[in-house]
Amino acid sequence: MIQIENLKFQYPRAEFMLRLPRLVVESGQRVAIVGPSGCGKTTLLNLISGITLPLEGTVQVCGEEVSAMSDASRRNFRIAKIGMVFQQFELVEYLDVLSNILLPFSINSTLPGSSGIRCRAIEFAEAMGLKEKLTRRPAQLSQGEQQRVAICRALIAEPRVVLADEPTGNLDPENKRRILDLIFQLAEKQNQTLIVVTHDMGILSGFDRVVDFEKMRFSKADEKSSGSIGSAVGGQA
Amino acid sequence: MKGPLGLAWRYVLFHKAKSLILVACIVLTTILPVAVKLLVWQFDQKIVARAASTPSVVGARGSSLDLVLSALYFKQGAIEPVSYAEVERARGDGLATAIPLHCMFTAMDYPVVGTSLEYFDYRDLGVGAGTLFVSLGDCVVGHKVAEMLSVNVGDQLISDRANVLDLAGQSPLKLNVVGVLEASRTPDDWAVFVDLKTAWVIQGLGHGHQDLNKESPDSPVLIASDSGRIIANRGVVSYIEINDENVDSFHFHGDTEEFPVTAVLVSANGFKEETILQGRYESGESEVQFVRPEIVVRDLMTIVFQVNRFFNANAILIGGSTAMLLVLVVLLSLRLRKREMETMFRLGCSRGAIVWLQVGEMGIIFGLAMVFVLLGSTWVWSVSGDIVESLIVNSR
Repeated sequence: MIQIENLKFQYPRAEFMLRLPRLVVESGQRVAIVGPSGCGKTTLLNLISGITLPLEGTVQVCGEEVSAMSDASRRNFRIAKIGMVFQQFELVEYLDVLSNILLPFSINSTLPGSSGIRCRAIEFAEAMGLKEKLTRRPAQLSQGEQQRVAICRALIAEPRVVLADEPTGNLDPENKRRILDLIFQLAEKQNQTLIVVTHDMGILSGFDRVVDFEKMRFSKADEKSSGSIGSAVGGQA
Repeated sequence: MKGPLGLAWRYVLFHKAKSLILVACIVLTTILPVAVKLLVWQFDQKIVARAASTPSVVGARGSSLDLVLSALYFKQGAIEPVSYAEVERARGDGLATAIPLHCMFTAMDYPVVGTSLEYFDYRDLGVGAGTLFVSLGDCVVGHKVAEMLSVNVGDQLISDRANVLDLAGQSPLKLNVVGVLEASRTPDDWAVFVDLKTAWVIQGLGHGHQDLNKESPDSPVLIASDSGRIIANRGVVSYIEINDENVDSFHFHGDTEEFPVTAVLVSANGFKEETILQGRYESGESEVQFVRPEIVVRDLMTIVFQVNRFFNANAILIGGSTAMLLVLVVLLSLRLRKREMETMFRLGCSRGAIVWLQVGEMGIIFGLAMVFVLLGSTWVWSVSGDIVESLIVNSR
């Protein structure tokens, strides 16, 4: 479960301040966060993953208070519990597909690397239709394929929470649906909580809840007590 | 390879061209001063060793450096000759061993050194094939000369004309190769040794021709024969080769005591004898000088090292500017890879590991560069002796 209370965040020397009275996402839920550009959707994902810390308030993920952890603990927590998918895929150009999928294990000594992990990576790639492309570099893949590699990378460590920032933003309509279905399938298989940030209203079907972030962050204090995102954003796809 | 170092290695492999350029920059900037340092050191070792093995030299007054270069490296044309009488004078009534050197001509562009047999003991030169010269017209070639000209015992070498435009000048002399010296890695490898008298024959001070007492009626060459003085015309046959049949006809005109030598190598029997000899040369207005090659060469090396200091300063400046350029390249690379680093951080990589990744990449580049520098330096070291030798030989 993810629980955010009285969250305040502001970038240094920036006028914009993110305020979020309350947000609760139940374990295993598939949540879409929608809103216009610049409303703080990506910042919210960074706060959940502990990449940035709030000025005030609390962020609890899987029962642990993220902002109270040390840097190292937060990093280890992020490695173990959170998988991330980005709009620009952010694959490493000099690594092949398999190495990109295994990247979290290459850069984190806390994740135990083993031959089992490699087999799992190959299974993931096969499930994503990338079996024949394991030795290819990102530049040799289509955009849809690149995003599938990025999804494999996000899920390889079997995180409890998957955060996807505009995962279909760079894809054509056919690939959008396909990628989302894959994310849903894998998340459901591993009972993962899925939060997808998007401003693409055409992909909202299939989510358990849809949060209009623009409305939510300006909600009154008395609305906080409602506790569910449904009441905060008033929308369910 | 796992971890940041493994990623660093894969980055370097992926960006081969960029990595190679960086490696080349470091290698070139490092190896040039290293190579020069090695060459200067080798030059110092070789030239000082040669000088140290030559206690003293007597020759015409003038540049002591030219005299030393002539005596040690057979440099030609730099100094005036002195008379052979100086050889006897240098012996100083048994105070020293004196070895004449006559170095005015070449054979196939290699210096022809007229000397005595004592020279080979003095320089500790062994004969690899054949023998030392035993009669007029014989020559012993240095190891490199034999190799470069592909000559061996039994072959012949022709001395070069001193002046190719002087048709009336002395004819070249065919030299019989009777021996090849063992390699000594000294200038002796690059010279042709003949007896001093053979050198004088090459110079034209001695010659051989048909016996005028047995003149053929078919081709009269005798113009006059009066009270022991014989005058022949230009038809008389002069020999350009010395062999068993004509060797007895070779003779010198004039007093051999007055014949030239370019330098005299002097090895005094002791320090006291050397001091006495030096005193003799330095007192009065002698036409010749007595020099200690080691002192002359060390003076020369002082100048070389001073020049080398300027080169070192230049190398440091170039190294500094290259280092700054490399830093710039790294900074620009970091800027270009900001997203990659940010992604790694988001995926859970620590900032420290990201720094290690960068350090690893630079470490691999520097490591590769150092391997090449080491290989290059080893190669330069292995050939530096030959390079220095050829530099010295070609400068004469």
